[in-house]
Amino acid sequence: MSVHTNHVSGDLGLEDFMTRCEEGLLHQLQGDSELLLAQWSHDAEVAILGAIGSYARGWDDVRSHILGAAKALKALNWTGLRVERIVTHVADGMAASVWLERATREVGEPRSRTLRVTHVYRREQGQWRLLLRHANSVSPEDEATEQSLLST
Amino acid sequence: MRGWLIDCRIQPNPFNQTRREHSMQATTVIPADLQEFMDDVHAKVKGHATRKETEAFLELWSPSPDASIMAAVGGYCVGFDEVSKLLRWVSEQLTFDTYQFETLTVHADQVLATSVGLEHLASAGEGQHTTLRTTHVYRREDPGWKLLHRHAEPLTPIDENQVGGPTSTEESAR
Repeated sequence: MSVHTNHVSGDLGLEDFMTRCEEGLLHQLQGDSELLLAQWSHDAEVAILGAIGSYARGWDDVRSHILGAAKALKALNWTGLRVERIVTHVADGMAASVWLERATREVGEPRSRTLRVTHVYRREQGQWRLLLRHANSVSPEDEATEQSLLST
Repeated sequence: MRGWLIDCRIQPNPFNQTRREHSMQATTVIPADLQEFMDDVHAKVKGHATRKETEAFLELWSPSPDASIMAAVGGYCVGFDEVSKLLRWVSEQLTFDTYQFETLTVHADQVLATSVGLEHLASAGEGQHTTLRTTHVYRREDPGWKLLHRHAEPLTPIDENQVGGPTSTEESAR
């Protein structure tokens, strides 16, 4: 089980926080939400647009959404997660990251799955917290189609 | 290298702010100029999706190399040149007649802000309709707010199979 990342540093506090988020996401993939939930703001306006579909808003609903997704994820036996950072923006007390999450399964037939992810973070009492997670799965065919049209 | 971190502290916030009340009893302070910009974004997305008026939408984007989009078509683009190329292509595919934006939440700070909402699109002819889950990230630049990132794809009901997502035996490069 491993987390691979493309590290780009600048704000060390944010860098550490994003690394914790990535570790939390690996645990989430394996059905354990505790570390990921610990990174979230408890604000009434946090939101998640998860890969499982639909959306949830407000800490209580976001927490339920994450716990529900973990139950489904546990059965899928993902064994690894590689985060490919695309861009990170930070200014004062807010930050946003755009990345790809590539989950891999090496038990049985090797498989991979890619999520496109946007996160928004806010510094609360000196500590970065997750405010928003927007993630959706994308197929290799989708990616190939876009690459094709951009090359024309 | 496709990943980088941008420190985008620019200038202080103007004083004129409005307070938006949400149904969950929380309040988010939204600068008046940000609210005006977000309203303009929704109007221009409508023009892009229903009248192929993509150039007006592109004028609201940050012209910077760190602008990015994860569009409903899939994949992602980084840099204004790629973003504009994709959006011009997308507009040629769209045939919607109506557009409505429903705000779910907004967070704003001095330089960065974000909004999450649902975009309801429909076409009268064949009764085609879809709802997109949409996240926008905005950045205050000179002379004002710009759209820095858009992430959108169709809203779907909860589907536990989706946590597995479309899988592949091969790692795609991008």
